[in-house]
Amino acid sequence: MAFANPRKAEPLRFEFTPRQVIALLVPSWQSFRNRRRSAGKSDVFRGLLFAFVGLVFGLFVFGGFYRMLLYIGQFAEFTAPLTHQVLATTSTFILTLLFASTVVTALSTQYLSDDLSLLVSSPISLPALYGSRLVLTALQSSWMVVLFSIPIYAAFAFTSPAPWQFLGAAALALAPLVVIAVAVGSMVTSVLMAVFPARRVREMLVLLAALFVVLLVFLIRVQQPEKLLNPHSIYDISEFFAAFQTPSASLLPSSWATSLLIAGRRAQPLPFMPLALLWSTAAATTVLGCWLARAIYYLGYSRAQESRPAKFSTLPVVDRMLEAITRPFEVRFRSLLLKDMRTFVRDATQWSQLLLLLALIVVYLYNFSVLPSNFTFATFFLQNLFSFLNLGLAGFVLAAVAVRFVFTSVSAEGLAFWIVRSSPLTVDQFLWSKFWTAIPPLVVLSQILTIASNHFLGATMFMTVLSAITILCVTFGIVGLGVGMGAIFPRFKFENVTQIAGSAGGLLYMIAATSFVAVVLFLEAVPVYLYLNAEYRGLPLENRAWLIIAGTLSCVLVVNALAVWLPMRMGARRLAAMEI
Amino acid sequence: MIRLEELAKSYGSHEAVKNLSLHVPAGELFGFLGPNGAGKTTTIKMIAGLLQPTSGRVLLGGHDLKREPVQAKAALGFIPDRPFLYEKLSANEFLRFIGGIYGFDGNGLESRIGELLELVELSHVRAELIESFSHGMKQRLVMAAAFVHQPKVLVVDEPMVGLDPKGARLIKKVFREYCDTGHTIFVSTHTLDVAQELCDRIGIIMNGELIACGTMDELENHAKTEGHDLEEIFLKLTSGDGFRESEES
Repeated sequence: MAFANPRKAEPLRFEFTPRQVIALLVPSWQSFRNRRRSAGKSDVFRGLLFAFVGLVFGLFVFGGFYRMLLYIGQFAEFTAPLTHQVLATTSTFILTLLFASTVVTALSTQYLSDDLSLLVSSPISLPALYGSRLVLTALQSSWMVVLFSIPIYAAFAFTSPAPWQFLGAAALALAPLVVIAVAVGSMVTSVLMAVFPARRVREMLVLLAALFVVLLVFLIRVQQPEKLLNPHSIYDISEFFAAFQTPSASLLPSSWATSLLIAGRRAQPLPFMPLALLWSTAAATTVLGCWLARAIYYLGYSRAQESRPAKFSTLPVVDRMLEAITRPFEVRFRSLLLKDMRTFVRDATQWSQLLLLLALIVVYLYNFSVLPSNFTFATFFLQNLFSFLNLGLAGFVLAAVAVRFVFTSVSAEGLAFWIVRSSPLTVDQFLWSKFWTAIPPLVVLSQILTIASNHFLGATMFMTVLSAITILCVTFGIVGLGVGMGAIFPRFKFENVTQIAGSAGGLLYMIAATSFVAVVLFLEAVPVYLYLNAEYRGLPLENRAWLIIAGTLSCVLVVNALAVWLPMRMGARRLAAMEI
Repeated sequence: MIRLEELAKSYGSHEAVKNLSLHVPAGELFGFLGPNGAGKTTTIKMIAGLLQPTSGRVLLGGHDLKREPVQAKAALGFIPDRPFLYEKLSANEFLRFIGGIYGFDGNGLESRIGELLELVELSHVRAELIESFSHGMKQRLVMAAAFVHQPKVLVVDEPMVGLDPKGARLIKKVFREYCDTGHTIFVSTHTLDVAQELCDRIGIIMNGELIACGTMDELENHAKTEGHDLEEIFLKLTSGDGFRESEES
């Protein structure tokens, strides 16, 4: 028998050693390495695409901060306090973002990961397991924040007399900041897990994260940071920054980090106290986290296995409402529609995104409502030109919304897709049901965005009607592209629907959707110019102009029809040929 | 009722199923056996329309799955080995969804759902979300779902996984009765005593090829074994003797 004489095993170790933590991290590293080794052409392409988009975004961030810092540098008496405040805000922003990200990530890495059942059932000390998971959590939750803080700090370095000293100070400040945010965030998750069942914690955290982002967006937007670029409003800026200052800020690790960064930027020796506080707090929170893990990690892990039915989501009122809304539809379509709507309202990871959408609409319209008061006196031409360009912006917002709600709709079927695939529903029926489900909310959204912003701009009736009709067509195109490309790049295995939107397919969709909007705008530019020119001169449109307008608008319709038909057809083919 | 004609499936250079031809008539409960990696699940997925055959064709209730997929699938009920379901629906809503995509609606469907939930003993949790169900409960719900539209053909991959003894006995009874009313069941399983007890005919697949097919008596003759024991026949036909001997030693 193969099992008769097992080799004598090493004695089992129960203590917490760095070696044990590293040993627990080896499988993660090996999986990462093997994935990289077995990467196919599409994976390489995906990697390059992500790198390219990341680089462009990084350059954009760098450019924005660099320009802002140069501006600030022009106003001698304000430069120091303003720079201080920008650095303080950046550090606080990084700390809170890292904290929020960790709280959500820790839930997966420390409590819900598939390999945990194997590890928890083996004789590994729980602090060692917790320590290894803390490292994974830190890597997963912080890599993006750290990566995008590089262009920000690079902008500070390039506008500083001692760039290298500043970068050194940034490294010394950022590292403990990450550790503190991760350790504290992870402790918060541990406590929540020990008290509530996992599913509730997950929904609660996702909702809190969404609310947090909404609040952050509102706070930043309502303060009108664009005034930074306007020297005439410099007095208001000091008020703006004063509002950000709170008495307790000096107790936050971000303020210690800011002290280091300011000293680095001024080429001064780094102050000892903030440095010591940062690193000792990082060490203390890590130790505290391990101590807490010893006490409550197992309790939390055990509770993570529990599940309770959701109460709110099965409220008869909600259900009756959904039933009533879908009653007029054909039985097959109605079944799919009801299933999608029920899944949506019962999944906090999905409906909480509506809060972000709401914030987006409010901020979008707010931007138009706070246009300079003298804008209404701007020329007729400029007003209508802005209205036309606003179409592009609305199209981009629609694409951003669609990548989250429409592009993901096919993949959202998840591993249960076999049900649809083995049923007599055709792939076309399935995809068109997704299409028609997405159309009504997006048409309402696009119409609100366009008509309200045109109202704030004071655009003419012609431009308002043209914008409304164009955005209606564009909505169909964007939804067609979304459902079709979602079917071309399906991803049925996921932990969270947002992962699908952030995939390479999602990126390609964003590129395709914005290109489509650009093509529509390009085609409409000629008729809009002809109309505005005639109106400006007070002359009627010539027959030739009407022909050109009719021709280009027909082209717009054809492009929209193609944007719906082509991806839907390609998606249906891809999905029909797909093996699951 | 189920006809497989020279069905083949390759993954790159690996031939998972090789020219499989088989006919399962109406009213028969057909058992499909084979060692791990023999091609059972690949075959079942091709019958369910989840995998496209490299060559050959599948006919369900006389309809070619490739040419008339809607008609063929309307005749089919499929029970996979792992019950991935829409976790945010309740058991009742899930069965109504299934009824809906097969074109059923109204009171007839409601009473059918009630009967099925009663049958699989899930009536008491009909309003609870599937995410709170155990594996066995999900498996029973999938069973109920497969019967909603009363398919002519039922294809089942590992029916006993995750079921308690009571559930297993229920399934055996339901399967037998379903076949006795003229329906066809194609079941893949590793539980040999279940196959022996239930199936009218058994096919054994190995390395993608059907190496034996017939009633218990026919298989016994084919394997040249003494005694009416499917395990013995299976191990002999799939060259399992060496493994058995090592176990005994």
